[in-house]
Amino acid sequence: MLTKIETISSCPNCGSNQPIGYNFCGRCGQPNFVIEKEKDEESRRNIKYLLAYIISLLIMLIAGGFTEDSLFTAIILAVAYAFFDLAFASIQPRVWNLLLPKLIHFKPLIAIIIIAIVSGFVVSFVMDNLNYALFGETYSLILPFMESNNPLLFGIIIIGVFPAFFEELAFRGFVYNNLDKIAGKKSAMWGSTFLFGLVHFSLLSLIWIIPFGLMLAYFRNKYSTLLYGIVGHFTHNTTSVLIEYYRII
Amino acid sequence: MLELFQCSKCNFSLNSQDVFCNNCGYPERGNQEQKEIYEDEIKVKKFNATQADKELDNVRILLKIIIALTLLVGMFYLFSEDTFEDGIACLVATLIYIGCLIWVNKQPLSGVLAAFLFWLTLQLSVVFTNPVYLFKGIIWKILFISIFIKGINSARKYQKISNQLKNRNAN
Repeated sequence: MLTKIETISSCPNCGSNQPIGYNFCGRCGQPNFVIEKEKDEESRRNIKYLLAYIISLLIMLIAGGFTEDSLFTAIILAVAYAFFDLAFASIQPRVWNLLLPKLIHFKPLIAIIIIAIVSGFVVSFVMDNLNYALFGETYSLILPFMESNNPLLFGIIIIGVFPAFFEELAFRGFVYNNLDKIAGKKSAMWGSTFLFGLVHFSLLSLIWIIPFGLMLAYFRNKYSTLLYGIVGHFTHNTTSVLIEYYRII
Repeated sequence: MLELFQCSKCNFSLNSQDVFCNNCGYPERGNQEQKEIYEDEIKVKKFNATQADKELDNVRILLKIIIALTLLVGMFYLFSEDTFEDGIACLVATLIYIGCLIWVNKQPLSGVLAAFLFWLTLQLSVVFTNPVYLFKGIIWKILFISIFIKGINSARKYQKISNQLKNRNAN
């Protein structure tokens, strides 16, 4: 019973000994105000972090909107977002724990890769046709990279690698953690997905980004790691780039 | 030797010296009066929770108005070829606002935040196309923002009470 001795604090109301982290005093029934206050302060801090992130994100989006489509701005924006996400993730060291290569299981890894490849094909096909049917035009992912020597390489790095790592870190890491503390797991899954959809700044794209984001959030929640999400996000984006580059569909 | 027994409300194990449950605060070995006080406290908290929930009605009404307007404008846009794209955008936005309304009923704080954020993003994207739009209907915008912010406060209050109820295992 050694642990019992180490985990004792006294009730400020009646002075009796209580286990650390107790909700109510066993003798006098008074709630543990210290714990309640701590929880309240933590939730306030989480809301503050989240709002700071959202406001700076909106500013970044506005700034990005004033740039032209070119290789140079694409690279600058990708690097700027990377620094931005890194800065927020380093406020909360808990986010980095999600990147530890602990037990990576074979089955979920294969599952998410297959889901991501299939979704890459389905989304490319459906969105191209939908955009064409509704608006008479389709959108290109790799157009800004066509002026470079190696469009495929730039496409894979800037569309595949960067968003996979940094967006996962930001949305399934930072945003998810904060929302989880404020309002619970379910809200964290939906909320991070919702924000993830909003930053893509395209209403029509939400019809695939929301299910896709929920899928990533599901893996984040179930296995408590970002690694599956990073692999899935990378596979999906790279599949879309390859499809467009080789004109598969 | 401490004799262990369980709380009849939350099954938390307690030792024989305890009168109240460490986890949910129920006076497991208290007298009738203490038990009545406990039940009354929960009743008061539940009443406060419904009051805080009522305060959210403003946000609900605002969302319903926004949904109706977006849908109406969207339908109107759909009939003209020039504004067809905007019509589709309005319909998607309507669906998302409906989602937010459902969310407000399930988990008020994140629901109100999501609705406010979405509305703000849409306003920004409009201002984007032409900065003059920032001042169009500015009084309405200020009114909407104040209702949203008040809603966030009510939602926080609701959340706090609901957490206290959860602690007492009486949600």
